[in-house]
Amino acid sequence: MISLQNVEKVYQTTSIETVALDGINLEVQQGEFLSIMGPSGCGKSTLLNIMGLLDEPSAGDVILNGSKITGYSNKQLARFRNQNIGFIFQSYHLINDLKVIDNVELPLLYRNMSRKERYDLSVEALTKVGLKNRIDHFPNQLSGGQRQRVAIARAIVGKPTIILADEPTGNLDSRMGNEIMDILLKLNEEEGTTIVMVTHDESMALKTHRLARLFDGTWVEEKAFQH
Amino acid sequence: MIRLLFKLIWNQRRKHFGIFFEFFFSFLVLFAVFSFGFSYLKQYLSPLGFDYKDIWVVELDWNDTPEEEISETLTLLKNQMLSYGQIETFSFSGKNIPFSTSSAIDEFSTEGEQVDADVFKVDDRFAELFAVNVQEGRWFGEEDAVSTYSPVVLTASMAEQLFGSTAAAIEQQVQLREQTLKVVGVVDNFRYRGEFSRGVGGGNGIFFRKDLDSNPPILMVKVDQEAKASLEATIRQDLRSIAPGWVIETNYLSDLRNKKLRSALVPLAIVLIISGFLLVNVALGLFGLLWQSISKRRGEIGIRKSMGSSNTEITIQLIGEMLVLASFGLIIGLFFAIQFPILNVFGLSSSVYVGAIIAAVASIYLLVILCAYFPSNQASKLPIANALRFE
Repeated sequence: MISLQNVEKVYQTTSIETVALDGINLEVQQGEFLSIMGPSGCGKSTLLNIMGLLDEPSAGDVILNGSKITGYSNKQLARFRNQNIGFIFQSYHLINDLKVIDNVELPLLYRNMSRKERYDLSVEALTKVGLKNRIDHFPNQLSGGQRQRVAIARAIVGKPTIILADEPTGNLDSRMGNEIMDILLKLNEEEGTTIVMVTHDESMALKTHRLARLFDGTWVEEKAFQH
Repeated sequence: MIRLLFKLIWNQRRKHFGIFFEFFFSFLVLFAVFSFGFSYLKQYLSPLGFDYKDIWVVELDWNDTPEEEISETLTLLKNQMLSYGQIETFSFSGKNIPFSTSSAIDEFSTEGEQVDADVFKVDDRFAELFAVNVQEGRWFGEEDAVSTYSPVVLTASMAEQLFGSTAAAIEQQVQLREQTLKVVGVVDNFRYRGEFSRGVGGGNGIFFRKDLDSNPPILMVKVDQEAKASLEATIRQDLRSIAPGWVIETNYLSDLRNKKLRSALVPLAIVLIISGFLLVNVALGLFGLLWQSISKRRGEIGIRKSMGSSNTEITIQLIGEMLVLASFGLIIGLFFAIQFPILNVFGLSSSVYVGAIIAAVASIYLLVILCAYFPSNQASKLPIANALRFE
């Protein structure tokens, strides 16, 4: 499903070379829920960005759903992201000037889809996250947990096979964090969605199938859990 | 997508108030510039109502010549002119000939209407000399010398204003204070002030058949194109021998026209330079505003790209948004602009205002596309991971 082979990411300035990822190999199976942990600045988000085709590796290969993503044009990358990947960010990244329903519709705008189809799918996604009654609200009228649920609805509305979540519970209290985690677990169990989640919260990571620890751009530990 | 663009802009209307105002103001500036320009262009392209080519103008000033000799000398001049085989025609008229600085304006009325009009004192050959087109009735002729009424010929504009149509004017009476005049013909508007003038009341003119023995007249001669050069010296010499004490000045009508055009073009050029400066200001203002507006949205651009939007789609969307923004400003501007043709402000025709509105709208949209393209294109190329950090 997701395969990273010898992935490196180096940030270069005129005087300094910073290695963010150093020869990363990773295999994530279809339907797996992987959590990635590590201290700040160890390369977790960079890794997630590369997996999500938001950033390019300096070296190595990224293979998603059997397709080797090398030499893809900007347009091809955009289409691949749109069809296959859903993103959830720590700070939600909703567009405050758009209503909840319009935020959720966003990925569908880049597909050849009628207005009604977009609306129906968006309502369906919002129903899954328990926010059907908030479709006409603006993001700033919602709590942090509700905003993150809108972001999840936006991530799943296009029925992607992979969801990448970058500290989805990082800005939430434990109760709301648990609610978000329950939604992700349910998505993984009931719909078989592959999820890769970066987190600082060990208790959340323990609920997933596998935990990988990153330190200074390399793997230092990997644990699988039986639930 | 378009529905969503309108929704997005509407939701951000308070944030965009400054840009709405900029578009509104820019539209009004462009509307004013185009109205002015089209009005001048329309004037320039409208027919003058006469042909000025190959006409030689001779100004006659009889100085202290005794009155009884003037009429005799004028008759001798006429006979002399008739003797030249290469002259197509000639005519005597008052001072307000085409492209001159002289004018004579008076007030004329019928029972229900009253208008101001340029007054021309002319002879029977005037229409032939200037190839004036007679729309209705006739030009002056010998029969008018013995008529019991004062015959006049009106321009089409004056006939329409006084009688509703050119045809209805024939045989009708017009009052000049106590004097009653009878319309015998209607001719095309006679725009003697030149291409950039609309004339009194939009082209009102009235021609009187006059004996030209009371005021120094102008003699106009239409000559054969080929004979012009050789004939000129001969005519000048003959006129001097017939009227030795008179001051005789000669000119070509086409030279008078060029002089008139030059004097009209100087203020026009100044206005065009100011208009150009305004246009550049509008473009720079829009460019700055759009650059700032788009730069503020790098975070949103990152979100959209992560959701699957390509660079091209981002560029198109941002330009589309700016066009929608412009449309909101234009709607308010159009509300004001449309009042000009409705209320007939400044007496310009509706077509000038409608043309100016279309040109101003098209210019604003073109400016938006040009000004929004560069910042939109730059913003769309931002790496997604970097763009998301701006959120």
